Amino acid sequence: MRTDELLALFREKERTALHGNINQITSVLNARLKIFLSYKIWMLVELLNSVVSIAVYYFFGVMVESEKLEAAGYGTSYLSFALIGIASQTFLWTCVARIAFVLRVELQEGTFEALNATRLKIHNFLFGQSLSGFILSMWFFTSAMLSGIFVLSASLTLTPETIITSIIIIILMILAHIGIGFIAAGGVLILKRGDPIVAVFAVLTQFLSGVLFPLEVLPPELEAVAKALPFTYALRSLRFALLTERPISDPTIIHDIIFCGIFAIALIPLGIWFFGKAHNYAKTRGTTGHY
Amino acid sequence: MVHHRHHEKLEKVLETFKEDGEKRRYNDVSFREKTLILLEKGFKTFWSYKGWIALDIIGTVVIVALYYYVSFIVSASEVEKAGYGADFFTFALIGIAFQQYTYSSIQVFSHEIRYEQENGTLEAVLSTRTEFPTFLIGVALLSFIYATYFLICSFLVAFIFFDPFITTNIFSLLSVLVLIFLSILAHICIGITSVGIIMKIKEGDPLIWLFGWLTLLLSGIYYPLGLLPLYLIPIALLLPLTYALDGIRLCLIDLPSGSETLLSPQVFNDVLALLIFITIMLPLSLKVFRWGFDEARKEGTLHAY
Repeated sequence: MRTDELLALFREKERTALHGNINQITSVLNARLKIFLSYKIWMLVELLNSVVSIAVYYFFGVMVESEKLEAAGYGTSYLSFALIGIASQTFLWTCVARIAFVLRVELQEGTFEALNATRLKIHNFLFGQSLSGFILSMWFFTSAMLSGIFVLSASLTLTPETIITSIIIIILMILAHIGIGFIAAGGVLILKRGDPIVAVFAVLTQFLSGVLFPLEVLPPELEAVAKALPFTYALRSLRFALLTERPISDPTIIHDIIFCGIFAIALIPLGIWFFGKAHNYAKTRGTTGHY
Repeated sequence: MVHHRHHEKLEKVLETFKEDGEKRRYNDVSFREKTLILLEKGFKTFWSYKGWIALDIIGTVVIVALYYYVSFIVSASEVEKAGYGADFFTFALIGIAFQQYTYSSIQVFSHEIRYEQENGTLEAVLSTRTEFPTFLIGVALLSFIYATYFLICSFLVAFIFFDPFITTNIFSLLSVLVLIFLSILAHICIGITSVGIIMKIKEGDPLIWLFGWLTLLLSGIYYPLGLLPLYLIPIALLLPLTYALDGIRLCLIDLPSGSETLLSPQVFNDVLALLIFITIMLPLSLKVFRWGFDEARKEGTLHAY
């Protein structure tokens, strides 16, 4: 064999930067999905957990005064109201918390340092993990919604238009919050502890964004805080689309979409920047293998 | 001469293996001391997670506040019809606070065992002279203290901010303590059974999952049992939390007719039901536990999860 033939064997195929990035993201995604699928019992249990949580509100809904719900513009079915609230809240935080959680596992098992030794770019690692979190959360969300609709007879308006509107809102809802997930992951790298940032946001949104009650029942000062949270807007639009069939051109929905978009534009670069800084901090101190 | 030297050497070797006074004292550590040592160990670990403690406190405040605002859209007529007064918030507060409290008594054993198994420390601890039940009680004690602290916190938050209808009748409050004790004992039986199963099957927590789902849905935490369809009532009546919550609510809520005590027939029936549950489940749970423990020891899998 000639020397240049031998060298050609070791040479990497030329790839465009984009191809390389996509390849890295899909590799991270593939690895994570394989792990998900190996935990079948866990997936089933989590799914049953969400179905039981929703079933609780089936009985609970009997006690709710539907006229108060109607006055807030969400129709008369409390089950449908709570179903959208619980399913989208679970969806959001399963997805966003996933990045910090996975990073913690990688640190605990000592595999994050090995990843650092490869040519994997750190933002591709972040996006691959986010994408896998999104797919996993989508599975829970869809299953919970379908159980609510078919098992508990929740009355949602499912037309092609409302479904497309909902998908757009959901994607924007995730994009508006994913930066928080990146910041939380950065926090895990620096502090080597669980991620309190996501937990605090999850608790606050559960209370203030109207997951279980319309915002109108909150006192004005708390309502003002609720209006600073992007989840409040995403949830309102999702309910308007699926409960009262408002189109995507509805001024309130357009307003909410813009609001979530602004959050996404502000928080994603901030999250990536913070995670990059945290990663450098851990690398310079040689602590990417510690937890 | 040689024989004598050998004998001296042997004496020295034997001396090395003989327990000195200090070692003997260590081996004679009483059950109470061992429990306190385990409690101290647990507390040190717990205290190193101050951020999580703060988060738990925020979480408690939020949950209580959440149901306070939910009560604004709920009609209390069903709660009133069931005999628990006309305030949905007080009804929900008791349901949620005690459900979390009793759930921790189910979960604590399996959680601790799994934690020790995952970290590979269970077999090391059990190869010492510490008995398994001593170890279990020691590691579970902190969780109970913590759960009690949160139960008190929930009520304090409610008292400070949301003004629930809670009685101040001392006899009713003492009756609540009896009901809490029986409720914990009943749920510990489920927890012990679950540990026995976990040690054998090493996968998840099937009993606790099932029990948790049924309890959440059927024992009347968020709504009175009267809202359930008739075919679900018999299952609800098999769950200890159903009786515990009924009794605790009747004793703790400041009803227009006054709060009940153990002497009232309905609360007495709840106590009786809990006692029957404990009488049946306690020996059964210890049997399942012993079976799981022996099986794991036989298979040499005590450390594995």
